[in-house]
Amino acid sequence: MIRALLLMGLLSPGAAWAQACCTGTGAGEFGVVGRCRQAVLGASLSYTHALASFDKAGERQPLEDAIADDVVWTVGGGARITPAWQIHGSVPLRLQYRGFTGLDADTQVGLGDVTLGTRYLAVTDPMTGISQSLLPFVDLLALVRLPTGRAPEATEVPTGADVMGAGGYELTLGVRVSKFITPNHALVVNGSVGLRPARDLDLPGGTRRFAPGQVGNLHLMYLYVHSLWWSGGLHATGRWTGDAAEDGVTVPDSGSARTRLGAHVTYALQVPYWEITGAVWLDPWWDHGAANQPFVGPTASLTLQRSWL
Amino acid sequence: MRLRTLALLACFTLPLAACGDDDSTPAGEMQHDDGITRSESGNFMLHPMMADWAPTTGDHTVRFHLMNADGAVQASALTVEPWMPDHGHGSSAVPVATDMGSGMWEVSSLVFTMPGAWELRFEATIEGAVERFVMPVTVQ
Repeated sequence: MIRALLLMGLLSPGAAWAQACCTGTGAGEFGVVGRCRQAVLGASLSYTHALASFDKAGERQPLEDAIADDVVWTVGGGARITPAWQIHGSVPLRLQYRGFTGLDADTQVGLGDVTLGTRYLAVTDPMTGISQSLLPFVDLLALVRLPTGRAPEATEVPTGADVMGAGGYELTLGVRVSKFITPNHALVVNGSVGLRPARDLDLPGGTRRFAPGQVGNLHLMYLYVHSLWWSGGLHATGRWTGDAAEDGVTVPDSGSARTRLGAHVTYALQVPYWEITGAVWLDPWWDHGAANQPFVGPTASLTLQRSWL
Repeated sequence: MRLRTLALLACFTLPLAACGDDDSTPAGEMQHDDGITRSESGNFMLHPMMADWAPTTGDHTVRFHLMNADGAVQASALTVEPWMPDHGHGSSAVPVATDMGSGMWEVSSLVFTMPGAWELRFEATIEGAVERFVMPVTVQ
């Protein structure tokens, strides 16, 4: 059936339904099994160059005495357990360069934080356009980030270039709603909360209990499906964290905010098996576009994914 | 998030669809003004010997002056820990504090690994008792 639909799309460029069908709810996501697919494997290479920081008050400060470059090679994939339920995960390998005043510049390589996730497709959009049906795709998401990367408190080099992870677990629960306004145009809203348990920090002066603030995430996307071969999207994301606590005492004004704008273009090298995606992400370049962020800067990435039907 | 950010997010998507040194400060609350930080007990003060000290990321050597209301105070030991309370980490470099006499201490290997809000957590041993100071530092 799926092959027939794909063939229909190939033979009839006007058959937009088949185009959309093969894009569906996994569009623009790494290592997530797309609609009509059974499994996916992918590799992604990204580069981020820090240009600025944002202080607690949201004032943007250009980086003048610091260089921070991150290259991340991520492999990941997913598989369907049932037609509606899939599991997925990703493993990042990080290369980080840090150069600060008065210190020797340093480059470190290491494993980042591994993420494992699952999602359940609870509602299906018939993808005939909003004039025919108001039903969207609704995915229920759960994601856990494992502290496999070196934690900030465990750094062994003066520059901190060996800090590859957040240092603690994070459980994210969310909902992703995707609606095809027409068979070629879709809007996606992804909202989630991140729960980060407190952890003990073993320091030379003794143990401290650190409780990072809880997290709220919002991701908005416009998706355009041009053809079976080409699709693209525009993204806006926000991540907000609450105040942290140390030994049970709240650290005032320790919450943070980060927004990013992005775009991606996907080209199917071999429909529907191989696809390549290029993406760029930017941070706000004005004050109050973020808060309490030590390093922000543009990211460019290239992703290759292989799917199985 | 400010209105401008929200407006831009909307535009992007919708078309497509001290503290004074006053005596009212209770013990345990460290106040700071003009770079002066009081100890937890409120009896001692510490300040960097630089006007408008605004460190950047990297390695620093800074002199600090320890005093009370009567003037310079001699401590037998001083330790310093750089700490980012918002993020729950410090830096791997261990600062070295050298007694320069007359209440003056030189702290070297003071490393800040990222911009943002840091604290310098001092412990000074004065006449056998430990006095603690928490000095907020904004790293550019």
